[in-house]
Amino acid sequence: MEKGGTFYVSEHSGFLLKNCSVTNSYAKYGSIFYFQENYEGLFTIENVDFYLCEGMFDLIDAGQTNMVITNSTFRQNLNNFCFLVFSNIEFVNSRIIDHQCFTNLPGCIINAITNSVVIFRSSIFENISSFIEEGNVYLEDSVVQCVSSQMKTLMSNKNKGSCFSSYTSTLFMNDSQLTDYTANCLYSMESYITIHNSIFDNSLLNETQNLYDYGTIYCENCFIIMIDFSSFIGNSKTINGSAIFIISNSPNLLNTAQISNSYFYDNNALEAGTIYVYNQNSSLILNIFEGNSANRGGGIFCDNDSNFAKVNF
Amino acid sequence: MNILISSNIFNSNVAFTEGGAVKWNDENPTFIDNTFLNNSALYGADIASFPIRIILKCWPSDDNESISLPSIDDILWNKFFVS
Repeated sequence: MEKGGTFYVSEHSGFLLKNCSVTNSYAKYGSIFYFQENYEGLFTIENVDFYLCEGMFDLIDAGQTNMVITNSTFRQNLNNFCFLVFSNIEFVNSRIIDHQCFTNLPGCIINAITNSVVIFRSSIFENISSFIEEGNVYLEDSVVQCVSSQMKTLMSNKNKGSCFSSYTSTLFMNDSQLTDYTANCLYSMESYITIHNSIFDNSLLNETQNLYDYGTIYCENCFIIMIDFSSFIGNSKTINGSAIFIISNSPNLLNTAQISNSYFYDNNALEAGTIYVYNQNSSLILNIFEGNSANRGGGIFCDNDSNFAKVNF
Repeated sequence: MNILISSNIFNSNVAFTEGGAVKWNDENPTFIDNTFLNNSALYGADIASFPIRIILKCWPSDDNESISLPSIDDILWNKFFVS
């Protein structure tokens, strides 16, 4: 089937699916749901189990719908992404487990572009594999809020965010736990990053670790980075900054980073055992750095390109 | 660029070459009220920067006496601004 393995929705009205199970659904696009282009209704899923569904692109091609998913489980499905969204999705008290994607498009869990709003609340994502280098949650010009959620064993076989990749986007994370990830857990470019009371534990190795392996949280040219009351334990990077890597390629005095009240334990990298900062105004306040190691900067490596200032002296 | 490192605790961190707790290049971060405990490195157990001073050790010497040379800043000052 080309579109909508179980549901092809074309009417412009609300849609509710409740208390049922969907298995072995297949379609090239939207292997469970396909919403016709420009569909703008509210789409609600409550207490539904999606199991062994398969397709070339997405499980749910949500188009312009506003999606709310509660108390539902997605198990052992095989698609490039679970959700392709162009508007809003709220994922509450639900789970995605044992999901595999197999092509070279980013966003194994969610591919959200063009002003989407993504909310994860009290949800679990476990054992999700991406064979590409981009994030399992992929964001462009979008906002994501991750609250009281868990991400465990999210793999990216190459580089960049195994959990999140964020381009010109905004990320809020509260009270969440991320463990056993590869590459960058969060890869962000030109984004706003706020992380509070969250845990980043135990990075794993992947196939390109020796070529490109910077930071559990990688921030390049990010405007504001705020991380507080969080912990980074047992992260290992083959190059720089095992926990946090902050780089500003074109120094901008308005770009700032603040990392406070956080705990860094047993992290290691070639350089910068925990935090690497290059060319960005940063404040590191009230943190504990314990038992970290590197060739240079066992705890922190502060790097700057101040050649301009030196020449003028 | 300004980097503020304040009120942190650095305990038992290791660098195999330099800067057991902190390594910095080019611009000196502002350090305020940090606690350094049991950090280790070949150079700069707690903090290391780029080389700013040369210490010439007389070798061989029986009394292990060291001679401190002027800092790089002093040398540059004398070279360019003192005739």
